[in-house]
Amino acid sequence: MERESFDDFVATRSTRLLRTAYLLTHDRALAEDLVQASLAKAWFAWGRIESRPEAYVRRVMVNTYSSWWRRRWNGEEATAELPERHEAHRLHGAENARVDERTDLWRALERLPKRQRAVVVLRFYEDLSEAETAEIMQCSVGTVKSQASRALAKLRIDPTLRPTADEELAR
Amino acid sequence: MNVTDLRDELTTHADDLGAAPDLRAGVATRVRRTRRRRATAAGAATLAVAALAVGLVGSTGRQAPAVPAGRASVTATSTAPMIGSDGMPYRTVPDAPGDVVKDGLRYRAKVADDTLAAGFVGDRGQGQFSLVWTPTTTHVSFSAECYLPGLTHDQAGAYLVSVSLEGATGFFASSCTGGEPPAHDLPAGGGVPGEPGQGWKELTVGKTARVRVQLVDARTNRPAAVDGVQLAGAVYEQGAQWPVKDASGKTVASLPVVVEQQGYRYELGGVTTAPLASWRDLTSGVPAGIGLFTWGSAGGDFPGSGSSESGIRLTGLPGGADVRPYGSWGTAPAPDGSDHTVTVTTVGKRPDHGTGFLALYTLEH
Repeated sequence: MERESFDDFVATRSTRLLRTAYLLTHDRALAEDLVQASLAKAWFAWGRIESRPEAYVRRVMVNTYSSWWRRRWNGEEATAELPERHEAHRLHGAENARVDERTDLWRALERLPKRQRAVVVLRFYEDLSEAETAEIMQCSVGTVKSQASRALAKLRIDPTLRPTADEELAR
Repeated sequence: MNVTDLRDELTTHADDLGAAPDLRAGVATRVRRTRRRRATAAGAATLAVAALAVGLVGSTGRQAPAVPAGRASVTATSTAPMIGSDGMPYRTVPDAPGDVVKDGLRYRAKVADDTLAAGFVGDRGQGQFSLVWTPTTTHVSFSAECYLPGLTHDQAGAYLVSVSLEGATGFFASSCTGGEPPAHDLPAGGGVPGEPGQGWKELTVGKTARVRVQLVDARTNRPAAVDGVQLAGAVYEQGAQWPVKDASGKTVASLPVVVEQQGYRYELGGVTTAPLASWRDLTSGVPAGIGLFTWGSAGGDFPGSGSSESGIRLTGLPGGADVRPYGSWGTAPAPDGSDHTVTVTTVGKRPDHGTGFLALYTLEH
């Protein structure tokens, strides 16, 4: 492929890649860093990519997400003492309950291990098949199935996503 | 929670993000940096061969501290400083009294003007220890390293090494690294608690302080145990610092008056600053010979600082222009042969707060 096509690719696919990166990192600035780092890696291999460059970049991005995330932590950034357990609010009104549940789900996603979060994003946001997800994550289809299953199980038993007693009674 | 909820949640958050900025300039910068780093690594491999040939490996049985890229033509018998491919001098620093040395790892007793207050390299499998010292200053930095032999980097990412001060809430954490520890000097500092220039307010001069260094699970922050883990930690009391202040006189960053790079000391020669909101380009003459420049910006939060559309750019040094996101700073070498002047400019939209700065360090003689 020509180098010009790389620029075109960056210009046209950045938004899509950024959204995936954001779902992985849950932080816009980090997501932009992740996309740029992945594209820079892809730039060196661009001449060898014969087809499906987006799948290639996505694979680089998911793999970079794991290793690069660790390096950023090495910056010795301060963290809170312990993550506070988000208590499910007992809200009144369907709209409030819906909004609150979305927030809880986003937080529950943050608590997933990185690879499980990556499987969730690729399977349920990117709508990739198990085989495509396995190709990107460079693992077996069986691993994708088990990781997805574990992720969903964790989300389902996450204390913040369990219905409150009031909600149970209302059912 | 069902899968439909999950899909909706992901889509909503992704859609809320809006369009991506133009990332092409940022990608180009990273490509250029990677090329430079690869060129440096190639030079380092050449130097390693030359170093072995002249017996540069330390006589203590511990491998000499890692050296940067160099030219193979330089030998240990030369009286002139060894020069790396980055154009900067380098030398190994022998053990000195007060160094903490164990298992091929070392915390040096003195690095630049920073002094080791407490340092410890744990035994294999030791998941926690404490550092105890009596502060003579509240201006400290700390180091915490964690190596997990037998684990991949991905697997090691499931663990953190935490640093907590007894009697204070909160802790600092850094992720673990898979594999064996590299045999070289451990980083002197890295984390600087407290607001810029304020010191660690939980410390009291003259009152014994105890810091716990501990392996924890990254997800739960609970203590963890891993066979073969090697932890190391140190507290350094900082030497003199130069405050970088904003227009109101508030300190936004602290720069060491003396820094050490590759075994050589460099002294702060001058600092120029400008508010980002009413920016004027910063320039500095490059001294004859060798120096360092520290440049960047600080003072507040800079959302979206990862964008390639904006930041601070330094020109005039070999290797071309370099751009840093707002809110970050670092050091760049100015080897012999640099331009006569370096200039710091801004790129793209400037924030309405924060301070940009350019500091010159010269080689101490």
